Amino acid sequence: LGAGAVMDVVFAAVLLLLAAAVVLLFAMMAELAARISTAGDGRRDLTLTPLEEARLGEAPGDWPEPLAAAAFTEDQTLLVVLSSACASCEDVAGQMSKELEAGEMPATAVLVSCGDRAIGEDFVHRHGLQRMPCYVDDGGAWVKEAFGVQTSPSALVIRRGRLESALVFTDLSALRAGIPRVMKEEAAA
Amino acid sequence: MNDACDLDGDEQGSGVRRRGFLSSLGSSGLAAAAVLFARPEAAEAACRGSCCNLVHCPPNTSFSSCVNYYNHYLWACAISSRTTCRCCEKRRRTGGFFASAQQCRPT
Repeated sequence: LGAGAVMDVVFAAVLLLLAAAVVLLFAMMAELAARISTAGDGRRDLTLTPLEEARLGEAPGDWPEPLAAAAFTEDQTLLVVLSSACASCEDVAGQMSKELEAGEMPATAVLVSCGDRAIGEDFVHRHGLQRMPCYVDDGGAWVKEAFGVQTSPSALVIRRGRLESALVFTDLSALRAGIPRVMKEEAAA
Repeated sequence: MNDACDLDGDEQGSGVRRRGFLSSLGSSGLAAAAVLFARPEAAEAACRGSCCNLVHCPPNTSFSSCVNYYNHYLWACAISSRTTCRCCEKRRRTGGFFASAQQCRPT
């Protein structure tokens, strides 16, 4: 082989090594992405974030029957919004199920948004959420129309049928502990 | 008249051999990459790493195609205070979903 041919082979080998390195890099990034931030991995984010899309102060005239009684109490009620399309909601529903089993569920109702009623009902039954005031919202139509909410897991603080606060959360205990502080901050602002 | 591309018999033979060697080197590299990394679980893991609980995982349509489809279900989910994903499913008129998409971004 001539010097030109040797150079070609060396160049091809270097190019192949570079291509292999790029493939390896992307594979490592995909593995890393698959391992971090997985819902329910025991390392939940304890932060409570205000849900900006929610229309605070809104008081819908028309409540779904399963939620109406819980919404019109003198004390505040927590309406937890979940969705069957949301993996982190599976984790939150599991936390709610544990609270129910322990008999430690303060005034709380749940709304499950879904693209298909059968999937929404399956979500409710898998986690035993039918043991509390619970509404399956087909397409999330009611909660979108009533409060402009289409994010989950989120918590809507309701008093006498009016939306007082809306938060995005992933840890139920952190939510219950943090609500008084958040409400105080919102009132002061 | 000879132009620059004209080669004699020996040179043509070595050129063909070189091309053959390079093409076999390239195809074995591609085959090795396909065997090592072309696993459906990798794409599925990337889907399950997000907060969307899609019916079709990995997603089988683009996000823009999904949200522009006349009958779709669109919902946002939060993994943490830092990451939000929008999950979209194309619905059949008769019920059920036939395509899914997602879009994740830091908040």
